[in-house]
Formats: sequence, structure tokens, C-alpha cells
Amino acid sequence: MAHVNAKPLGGKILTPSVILMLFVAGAGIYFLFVRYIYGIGAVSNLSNYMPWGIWKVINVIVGAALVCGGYACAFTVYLFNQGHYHRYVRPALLISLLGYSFAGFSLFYDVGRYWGLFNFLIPKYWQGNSVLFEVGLCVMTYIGVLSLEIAPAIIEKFSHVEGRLRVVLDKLYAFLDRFLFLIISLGILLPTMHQSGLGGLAVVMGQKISPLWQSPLISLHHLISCMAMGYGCVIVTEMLVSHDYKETQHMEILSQLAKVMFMIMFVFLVLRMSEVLRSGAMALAFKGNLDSISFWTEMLLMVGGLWCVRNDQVRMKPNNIFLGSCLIMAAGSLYRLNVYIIGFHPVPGVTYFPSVPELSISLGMVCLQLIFFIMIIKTFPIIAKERR
Amino acid sequence: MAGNRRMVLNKPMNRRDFMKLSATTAAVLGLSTAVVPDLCQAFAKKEKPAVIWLHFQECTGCTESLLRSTEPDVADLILNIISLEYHETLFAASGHQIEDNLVRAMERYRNKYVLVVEGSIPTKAGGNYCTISGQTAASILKKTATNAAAIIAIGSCAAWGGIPSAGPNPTGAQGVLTTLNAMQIEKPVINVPGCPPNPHNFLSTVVHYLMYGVPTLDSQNRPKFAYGTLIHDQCERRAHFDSGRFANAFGDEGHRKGYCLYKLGCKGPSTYGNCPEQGFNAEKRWPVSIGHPCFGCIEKGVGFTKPLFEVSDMVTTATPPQVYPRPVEPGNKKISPLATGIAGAVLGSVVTAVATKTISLKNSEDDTHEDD
Amino acid sequence: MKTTNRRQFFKRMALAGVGVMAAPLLSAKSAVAMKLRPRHDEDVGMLYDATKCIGCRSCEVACKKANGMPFEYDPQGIWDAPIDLSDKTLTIVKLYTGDQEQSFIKRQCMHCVDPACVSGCPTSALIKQDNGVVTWNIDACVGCRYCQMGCPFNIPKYEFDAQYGRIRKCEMCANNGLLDKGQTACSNACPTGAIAFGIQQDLIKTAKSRIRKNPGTYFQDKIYGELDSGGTGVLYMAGVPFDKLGLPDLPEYSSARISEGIQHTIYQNMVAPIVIYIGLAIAAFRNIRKSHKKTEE
Repeated sequence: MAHVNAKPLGGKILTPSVILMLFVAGAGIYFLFVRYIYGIGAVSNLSNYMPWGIWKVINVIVGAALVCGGYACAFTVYLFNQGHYHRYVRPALLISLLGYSFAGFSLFYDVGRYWGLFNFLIPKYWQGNSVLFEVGLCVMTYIGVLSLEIAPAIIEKFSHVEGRLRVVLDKLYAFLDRFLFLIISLGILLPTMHQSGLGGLAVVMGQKISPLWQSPLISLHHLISCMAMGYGCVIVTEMLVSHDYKETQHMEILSQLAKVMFMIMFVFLVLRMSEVLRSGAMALAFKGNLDSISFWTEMLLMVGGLWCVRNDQVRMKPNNIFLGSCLIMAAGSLYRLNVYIIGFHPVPGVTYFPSVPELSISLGMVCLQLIFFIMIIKTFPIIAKERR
Repeated sequence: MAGNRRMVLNKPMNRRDFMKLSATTAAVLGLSTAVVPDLCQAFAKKEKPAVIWLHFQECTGCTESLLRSTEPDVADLILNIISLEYHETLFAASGHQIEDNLVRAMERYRNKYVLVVEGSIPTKAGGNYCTISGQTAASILKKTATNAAAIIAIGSCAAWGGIPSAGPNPTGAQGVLTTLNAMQIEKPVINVPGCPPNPHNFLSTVVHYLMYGVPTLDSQNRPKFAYGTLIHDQCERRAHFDSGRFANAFGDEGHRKGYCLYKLGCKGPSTYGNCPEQGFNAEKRWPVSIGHPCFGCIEKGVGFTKPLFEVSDMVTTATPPQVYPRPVEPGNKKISPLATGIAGAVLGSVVTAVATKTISLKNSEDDTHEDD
Repeated sequence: MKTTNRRQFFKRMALAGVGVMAAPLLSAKSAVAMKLRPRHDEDVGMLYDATKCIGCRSCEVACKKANGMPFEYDPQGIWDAPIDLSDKTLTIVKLYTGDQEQSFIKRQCMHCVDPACVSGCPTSALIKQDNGVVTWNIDACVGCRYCQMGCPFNIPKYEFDAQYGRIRKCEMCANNGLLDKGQTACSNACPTGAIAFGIQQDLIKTAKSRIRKNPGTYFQDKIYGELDSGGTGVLYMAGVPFDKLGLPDLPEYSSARISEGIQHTIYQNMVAPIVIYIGLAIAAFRNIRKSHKKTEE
């Protein structure tokens, strides 16, 4: 298994920032009650021309992409045999698990007939042609896989337990250890499927999505950008939860991750621009409307991020790889926002901006994720601490 | 006393008619049918409120329309739920006998009786244009109103002067409310105008008063349940008006097809009432439904004032919407400034946090290398 | 060590990427060339001729009555005046006024030959029946509104104001018993015959003969929906450009074809995922064993 020296961080959980986030989460939960009693229209600005808003696009689609750290780690550690990345695995898995679980939960309040979500498990209702069906099943399964992947960390917490429970836990631990390779492989296959699927959702929307983003390669675009965002996620998480990056040996490892992120994001940039140029959509980028402004912002964020991590020297500076990761994650997030909201034009003249309750629920869910993350890293052995 | 109050009509009302009438009353009042059992109870109450019914400058059309209504027989029911103490048309007695009745009733039911007034009150020549047993209408009104609990002015004449007040108004005819105001007598006055008013409007007013007190009144003291909407806004020919289909002359093609009678002088657009919804008599017809324009008999300043075939003023403020929607209607919702603010604040704080962390990393990095 | 890793990395990236990459590039073209869904002989539909429509809106009234739909009021609360299709209005007549020209246009579900909504629905709530009508199943629907996102005509409407919302759209009276009698409420109510109901193939023949007999009347002598978006069950004829009437300019294949093409190429019989999974499992197994060996050393 990880064989990493991970320990609970300890310390107070109710810090001022956590308390602030609790308030935001509380407001979000209040509006969730309103949503469940009075319906979606009472708390959001979703409409028949814009039926997907920030809940689907930010909490589910962007949210799932931002937390691809688990995916990136699985690649790096278990596929490319980079053993010295082990210490990043657990925090990345945790953030992935939280991110995907909340993405799943977001569906429970975003879809109108949430009790029907269980139809995804009933063969009578399966519709194999639907990209959304594949994404739904994949995400459901992946959450299970992530739970299995992080289970060892939970079990380690209970290392002091004795008796029959100890036997069970030990058996479970050994089982997970033995079949890790199967679980990990799922942990690579499934995100590949559903992340490209989250892009593939856009194909059926045809010309309702602006040619600046619509393309037959849109699944590939989503997959590649999420891989890059995954690496960024690992880097940012590591730099926010520990100070070990200050050690040169750790900076070297992080800069390797940044290098991979650079290469993947570069491929994404090339693929995107080539598609935009090939389809002749470039003309749309100069119309001076919201589409074009957002397009160039996305490009700027991407290029800016790439610039921050462009060579080995700059990649050894923590500020560069931190900023580069943030910019690349922002570029990927804005890209998804562009595909499904900003660049989505069902008929000319439709505008959409979330309402206050809608924003509150979205923000509340993000805050809840962060609160859970903080709670868990402080109580469970997730973060590896270097002995000085 | 019983002999004096022998009714002209004494058909007992059967239960079916009774229920129908209760339901109709509830409907006119805009109440749900759940109220009907309460109404029946009220109707069956032993203690009947006393009613004194005065006639002044009138044609007795209001009483007659009440008496002539059938299916159900409104008059009979009214006479069963109220104790009619004085009514010149219905009472067999006359002369001193009936006047004594009036005096005794006013004493006996002092401050408890409901005064119904039919007809206008003349003011010129000392009010002598209308006298009953030597007293002017005004003085009778003063005496009876002073001790009444409430006053219902039935018909346009009692409400605002009606036909007698039509120009040049030689008798100085005016309505009950105006007269009482001039005499500075403050009593609740409910106007039920019309020429004649729909008997159901009157019945419903009485029933409402018995059960819930004075109904909600508009600025002219008319009950809103009957006079709250313009006739034009509920007219069954409104669609023709909105689409520009008019009868231009009596008997022309448009008239035969039942088009709007606005150009023939229909006063629906300036008259408040419930004639289109309620109709009159068993067939529920009203003037427009049989092809004659409304002349605004209900409305002061319109009925008996404006020429019958002069085109009406438009009091209605309701205009039809854009008749056909456009091929593309985005139907956008308003963007809340607060939401924009929150989103901006969140974005701003994320940007600030990233920038701060980046700078602090840079500084600590520089610090570390300074030590080298 | 690093060089080997980089080579390995690229090798594996390339391998993983090939399957995902090749598929869409191939399928965009092949989807078009391949099986476009055909119209079946028994498919029923409607033909709307805008040149015969007088905008009386009897069809709107009949539709509301047949389906028990509630009123939708104008802001003053007096007129039943919907301005667009909605969860309360399943068909609507709109008016286009242009420079020296005008035309009415009736909008409702197009009952596409290759519906994007049916393709996208994850739980088979929207299905294309054997008679060509696209219907909605209340038990299957999740309310995800992917159908709304996918429909090129923006037809399905969701009841946002309800606690438990439904998707609502014209179901060609399959939901109210009229279709079983071979009728639709709107075509019955139409006084001028602007809406005709019948077998789609017959309606196309009728439309073509109408175009032949009235040269110069119909815009570009075109039947909108014959091939647009892969073909629609409700066909349109008009005397003015279709895009002015809100009918978008669409390719001759449905976006569902592209989407399904990509999906099938990648996931056909789950071959690619299983193969990739086996490859991944082998690599992971090897790497874990290697790292275990290293730790033991």
C-alpha cells in the first residue's frame, strides 16, 4: 500500500475560516429546504431556455474536473511507477472522493425528480445511447472506487482497536492491499470514461453551443484538460496542507508534476486552437461580445498558466508552480463554463445569471466540501509529515 | 297586526328552490358553496330582522322586478327571511292604518331595523314634489333613517337620483346618500343601483348583511361583489371588441353575427356591474346578449345622462397584450444586482487568495535563497 | 531514469489516447455516411402550411382543452395569453412581421425522426413510439433536463414552479386518447386545413404536390423537416424564410447521430474499456510488485 508516513494533522477544527464557511454552508442548506418545498423555480434563475445553470455546470462538471487529483495520482504512481509520489495520493484521493460525492449530491437537488435517480440502477430504464447515462453510472461506480481507495487510511485510524473488529479490519486491509491493482485500474479507467463523457454531453447539443467550443473532439478536450487540472489539484493541495515543498527534494517532485501538467495543458491548447481554426470559428472571437471576451479570458488563463511552468528553472520556484496550477485549473473551469453556459445559445438573446439562493446553494456545497476536507485531514492519517 | 301584514303572495318555497337560491346567492357574493349550509341556517332563523321599505320618486320597478323573479322565487324568500314591517305595494292596509304601522315599527325595532329605500328624494319646492300622508319624502327619510341600523338604497333612483334626476332635473331629485349627507345623518348606506338592479344583487346584499355585516363597498358605496368590475371587462362579446369586429347599424351583418355593440353606443366600458355574468331572469339574459347596447342604467353620469347611442368613454384600463408573440421570445429573467455582487465578491476573494499565497511563496522563496 | 520514464509516459499516453482520439474523428464523417434513421411507413405526423394559417388559434384552445392544460395569463391577469411554449402551453401560434411580409407559425414538438431528446435521455423517459410519436414517461423521468439542452428546437419544457416538476411537450395527443382514434386536437380544430394529420409519407406527397400546383408560393419550394435535423414528424411549409419563423437552419442529420456514433465507436460491446482495463491492471500489478520489491531491499 502507500507505506507513507501519514498522520492526522490534529489541531482545532473550528478555526475562524471554518466557522465562516459553516455560515455559508448554513445559508445554502436553508435554501435547499426552500428548493425541496417550493421547487427549483423558487430558488434559481433556471429557465426553459437555460435549464442547466451553475449547479450542474459548476458543482458537477467543473467540480468533478477540479478534483481530478485522484486520477492524476493513479496515473503517476501506479501507471508510470513514480513511487516517490506516494505521499500525494491520499490527500488527492480524499479531495476526489469529497468532490465527486458532492457532485453526486448536487444532482439530488439539481434534477427535478430526484427520486428517479435510482432508475439509473434499474435495467428497464437503461438507455445505452445516452452519454449522460454512461456518465451517471461511471460516476456512481467511481465514488465507490474512491471510497475503496481511501479505505486504508480510515482503517489505519483505528489501528488501536482490538478484538473481533481488529480481525475484520485487518482482513479488509489485506484484501484491499492485495487487489489494489484492480481498484486502481478502475480508478484510471472510470475517470477516463466519464470525464470524456462530461464533454461528450455537449455533442448532442449541436449548434446550440457556439463553434468557439463545439467540436467533434469535445470529449477529448474535456479529458485532456481534466488530466492537467488533476495535476494542478495535487500541486495546490500539497502546497496548502503542508510546508514540505520548501525542501528541495520535494520541490523537485512537485516540479515534475508541474512538467507533466505543462505538457498535457500544452496538448490541450494545441487541440483547442486547431479545432477553432479548422472550423473557422476564429472570426467569432473578434465580435466583442460576451462569447469572445470569455474565449480570450480562457486563452489568457491557459497561456498564463503555461508560462508560469514553462521550463525546469521556473518550475523549481514554489510560487510559479502554485500560480501556474491555479491558472490552469481556472482555465479548465472557465472552459467548461463556456461550453455549457456562456457559449450555450439555444436562441438568440437568452441571458442567464444565477439568483442569490442559487449562488448560496452552490457556495454552500463548496464550503461543506472544504469543511469536510479540513475535518478529515485533521482527524485521519491523510497527510504525510516529514520528520525533521 | 297579522291582518295588516297579510302577504300578497303566500306560496311556500320548496326545498329544491330554496337550495338553488342559496347556491345562487353564494355565487353572486363570490362565496364558496361551503357557505350554503350557513346561509340556510340564517334563512331559517327565527328572529327575523325587521325591514322598513320606503318608496319615494320611483316607478316601483325595483319591487316589481323582485316580485316577478321566478326559479327561484326571490321575493318569497326575502319575505320569509325578513320581517317586512312596512311596504306600500305589498301591504293590504292603507291610510292611517299603515302609517300607524310605520310609527309602531320604528319604535319597536328602534336602531335594529334595516331601511330599504326605493326611489329618489326631491329637493326643490321644499321637497313637495313627493309627499306621503302629508310629509315630504325628505322628512320621512330623516325620521326613518335616524333610527335605522343600516340603509339599503335599491335602484338607481335611490342610489343617485336615477330617471327623476335626468336633465334638467326639475324636481331636484337626488339619491339617499346625498340626502343623508346633507342632513348630516351618519348611517351605513349600501347602494344597489340598476334600473332595475338584478334582484340577486339585492338578495345577496341582504344576506351578507345578516351574516357578515356590511359588505366591502366601493367609493360609491356599492357592494364590490356586484359592482367591482366594468361590464366591458366581463362582456361575452369582448373578444369581438378586441379584434375589431363591430355592429355598425342595427340589423346589419355585424349585428346579426353578434359582434360588439360599442359603435352603437354601448356604455359597458364606463359602467360597473355584473350584468354579463349574472344576467336577468331564468334565461340569464341581459341587453347586450340580445343585441341592444347597454345604456349604463347603473352608473351615475352615464345612465339617463349620456345619449343612448353616443359612443361611451373608455374607463377600462385593461388593454389586450401584444396579440401574437414573436417567433423568438427569450423570456429572460431579471439579473439580481445582489447576485452579481456576491459572485463578484467570491471571484474577487479567490483571486486575492491566490495572489496573496503566490506572493508569500515568492517572498519566502526569496528569503530562503537570501540565506544562501 | 527520467528519460525512460518520459518515453514510457509518452508511449502510454499515446496508447491511451489513440482509442479516444480516433473515434470522434472517424465518427463525425461516418455518422453522416452511416445509417441515418429512416422514416417508417406507419409513422404519423402533421403538415403545417403557414400560407393557410389565419392565426385564429383554435388549435391552441383545442390543445389546452384536450390535454387539460391550465390558463397562462398576461401580466394583467385577464387574458389567456401565453407568449411561448411552456409547461402550460403545448402548442402556440406566433406571428412574424417583416418588411412587406408576414406569416403565422405554429410551434409544438417536431416529433423528429431521430430525436436528440430520446438519444440523450439517460432513463428512457422520452421514447419514440412505433408510430413515430415521441412520448414522455412520468415514471422514468429524472428531471435532469438533458432533453431540453439537446433539443434543437427547444421544445421540452420543465415545470420549474412545481415541487415535483414534469417535462411537458406535445405528444400528438397520444396522451389523451385522440391519437388512438386517428386524430389530433389541433388538426381537428383547424378551420382552414392549415394543419393536416396523417402518415408522414403521405403528408410529404401532399406537400410536394401542393408545391407543384402553386409555383412561387412556398419559400424555396422547400418542406422544412423533410431532411432537416435528420427529418421531423411535423413538417412545415411557408411563404417566408424559415429562420424568420424561428425554425433554425440545421444539417441533414440529427446531432443524436454524431453523439451516438461517438458513443458506439468507443463503447461498442464494451470492448475498448475492457481491453484498456486489462492493460491497466497488468501495468498496475507490475508496478506495485516492483515498488514492493524496492521497499524490501
